[in-house]
Amino acid sequence: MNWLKKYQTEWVLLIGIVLVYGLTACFNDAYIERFQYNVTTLILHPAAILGIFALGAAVVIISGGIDLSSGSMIALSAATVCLLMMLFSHWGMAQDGRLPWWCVSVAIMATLLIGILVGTIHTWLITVVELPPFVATLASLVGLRSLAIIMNKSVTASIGNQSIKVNVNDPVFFAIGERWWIAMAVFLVLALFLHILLNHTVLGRHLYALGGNEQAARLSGIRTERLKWFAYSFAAFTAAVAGILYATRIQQSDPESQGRAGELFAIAAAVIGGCSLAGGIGRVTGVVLGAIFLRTVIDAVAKLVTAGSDDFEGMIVGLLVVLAVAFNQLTDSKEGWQKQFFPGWFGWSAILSISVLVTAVASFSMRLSGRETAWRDGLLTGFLTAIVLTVFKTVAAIAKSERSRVAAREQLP
Amino acid sequence: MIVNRNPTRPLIEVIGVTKRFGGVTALDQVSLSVQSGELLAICGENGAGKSTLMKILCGQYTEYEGELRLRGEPVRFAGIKDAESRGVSIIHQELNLVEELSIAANIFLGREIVRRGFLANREMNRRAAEILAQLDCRIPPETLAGHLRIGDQQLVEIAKALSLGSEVLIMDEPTSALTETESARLDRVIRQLRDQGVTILYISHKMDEIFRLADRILILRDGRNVTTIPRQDTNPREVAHLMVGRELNWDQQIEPPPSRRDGEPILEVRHLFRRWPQHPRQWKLRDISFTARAGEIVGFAGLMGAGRTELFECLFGQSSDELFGDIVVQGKTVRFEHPSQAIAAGIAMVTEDRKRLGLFANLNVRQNISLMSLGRDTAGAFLIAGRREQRRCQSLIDDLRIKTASQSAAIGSLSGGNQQKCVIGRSLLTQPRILLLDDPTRGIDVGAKGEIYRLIRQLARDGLCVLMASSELPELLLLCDRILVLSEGRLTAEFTAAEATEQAIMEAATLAPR
Repeated sequence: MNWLKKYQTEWVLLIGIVLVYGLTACFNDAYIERFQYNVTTLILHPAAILGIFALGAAVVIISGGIDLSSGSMIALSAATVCLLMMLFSHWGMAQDGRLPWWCVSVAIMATLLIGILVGTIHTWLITVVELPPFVATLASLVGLRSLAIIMNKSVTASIGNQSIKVNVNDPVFFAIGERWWIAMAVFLVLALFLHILLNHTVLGRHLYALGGNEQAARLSGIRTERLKWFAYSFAAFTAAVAGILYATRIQQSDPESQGRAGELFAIAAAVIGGCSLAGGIGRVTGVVLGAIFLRTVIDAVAKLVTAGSDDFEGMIVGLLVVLAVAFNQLTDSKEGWQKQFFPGWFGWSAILSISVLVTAVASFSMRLSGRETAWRDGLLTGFLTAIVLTVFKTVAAIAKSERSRVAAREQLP
Repeated sequence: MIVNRNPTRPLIEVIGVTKRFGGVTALDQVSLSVQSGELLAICGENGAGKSTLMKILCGQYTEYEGELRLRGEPVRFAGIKDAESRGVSIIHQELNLVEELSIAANIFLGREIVRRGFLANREMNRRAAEILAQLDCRIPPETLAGHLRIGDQQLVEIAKALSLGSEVLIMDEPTSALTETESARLDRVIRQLRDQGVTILYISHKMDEIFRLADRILILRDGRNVTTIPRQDTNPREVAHLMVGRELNWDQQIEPPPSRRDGEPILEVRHLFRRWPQHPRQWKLRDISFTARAGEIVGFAGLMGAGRTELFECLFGQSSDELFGDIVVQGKTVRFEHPSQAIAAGIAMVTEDRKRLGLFANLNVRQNISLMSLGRDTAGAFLIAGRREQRRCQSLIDDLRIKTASQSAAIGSLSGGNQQKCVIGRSLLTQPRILLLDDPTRGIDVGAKGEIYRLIRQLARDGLCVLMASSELPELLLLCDRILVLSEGRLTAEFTAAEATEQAIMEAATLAPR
């Protein structure tokens, strides 16, 4: 029982994954007919790459910080590895159109090293310059992607036509990108490593302590700066790994789109997996399942909304994060489900705003999927939402006054 | 001469007020009455209930038993705003100005003067300047509050209260952060206000101020009225005695301290100075020297802000301020830059604020206890040996008699006393030679205090050098072999266990050091 309760988040996610997949299968035959392709190429492969840098985001979050730079770090690492491979070919290292293994290794190692360098700079900004983590990594969020674009342009210009994108035609690269289980294996190895690190090593225990109470950690003789260096370097390192894998997938560095909003997806996966943004709480198992769950839901929506499904990703991630955090807080808080969600006049304005938002979402999505009566149905949906929420508000208010009446009666002698 | 302008009708009365926080009674049937235009000083030790009483008077605490009367009418303030609108204002110990706004904007914050929907800045500045002039303060009202010195900020707070038309002004230790010249000016302002008929309730534990300003002195102890005396009928000695005079409760439970002056000197502090940047007092600690021996319990007494915590921070490598002087640990001169160095040198510290600086709410009991000694429970260089960790924790839980459901219970589920034992135990597992305890029984119930006392005594018998700061004098008198008294960052007295009395310590602690 204890065990069930401790891993509550994981169980909920596991059930959620199966449910979402099952439900989508009911509406979409392709899910069963092309089961293997769907599960591996559409869900597990992207989920593994997302999971890899979500692990990094989770370590930073557990240590009480935040890393907003992973999306741009992905773009930078993809650019680095592709440029190095291209340069090696250009310098005539390739034989029969294939680079020797040591060239590929050097390219990958150098890219991973750059990840650690970026993490070191973050740590310096945070611990020595004393910037808030949010600001330090926000600077990299905008800066690193720009750096990747400049790198690609300048190197391509110096050896041929200037271009933002860099293509790599190497069989090894292709082979890695083609096989979904390579990404999965890297993901699982990293997850296992991190799991052992967090649960069974001094470093891991100190990370939880740092996230739980930084001042008390320092007073306990913990070198908090070194821990932060590990956390931010690991985050940038995992983003670099993910960047390499993204590059192998399309055999290209495309800094304008690769890893865009990746940081938000990573934080979302960590939070859905049960990490607390206040720090000190989170498990690797939760993050792994969080990444898979996120990817499953995104793919399910892609299947259900045939046209322009990519455009829905942002909305889904936003909604899931809000729901996951709200759910965690509700199960932890004293009030629990007795909380008044729409109190007083502010409740009314919240109901109005939510209904307007639902109307917009419903009508525009239905219009996009070609429904004739989209505007009318959208309005109807928004109206229904308003009614449901009003009923909810009224019932909750009545229940509250009833409870306080009962409590008052019980206190009388 | 007693200034008693209208003896028939008190302006403000408190009748039998009781305030409880959970199970703790902060105020117990406290009464007072102040005449219009009178200055009543309220004194008492830390935790005597002064601040609680003030917070009830200024409307911050709205739930209490008993009655408040203003001009003879029973009142119950709904909040600070309500109290202000009826002419009762408070000047807090920590000032509440918005540093980014001008003086005038601060004075009129929340009730800005508006003309045709826009702020009437010129009008506000003019009025602010008028009030400041009354207070003998010539700073332009457009100046940002953050650019003012503490003393001037305080005047702005007073100006704000006056602009509200306050008849009753409550001042909570107003001179604690002021230089001597600033204090003198505040003296003048207070006298002037009193002459204008403003009634003042003045909280302080500085005897010289109280005896300079007060008409009458109210003394609180353990949340109860002790007495109210006209100033000219008493003297500082008597007031200090009344503040602390109480029975010792622990005599039966704990055997008297053994005389322990023969251990080897293990910690020596010579002429220690600690800088206080951007503060008129300049030094948090000034010229502190003492020696502590193995097996000895050395107590540090002093009022709030006297420098007890600041001293321990220096010894534990937790201060980032400039230090001068020598700290010698076991014969070696040290200067720690990080607590980990202090721990390696055999020093452990239990902090004053358990919740903020001691506990990890996200870790369980075992993880909280083992945190500092994990290095010794590792198998190989890296992995924690879970079994060894569990065994070590279990023996500590048994030794210190920590009451917990299991090792993996949440730390928050333990009582305050047991949480404190966990924090002390965490430090003990590093096998220190010197243990710094900063107010180790704060927020702990009476039964658990006895156990902690026994534990401290036991540790000293085992040869540990214990330095203990406390705001409770009886506990220092009970446990310590020697008691050093700090006042405003300086050492003002040293007593052996035989010499020390509460009265003597309180006198030394309220002494303004020259």
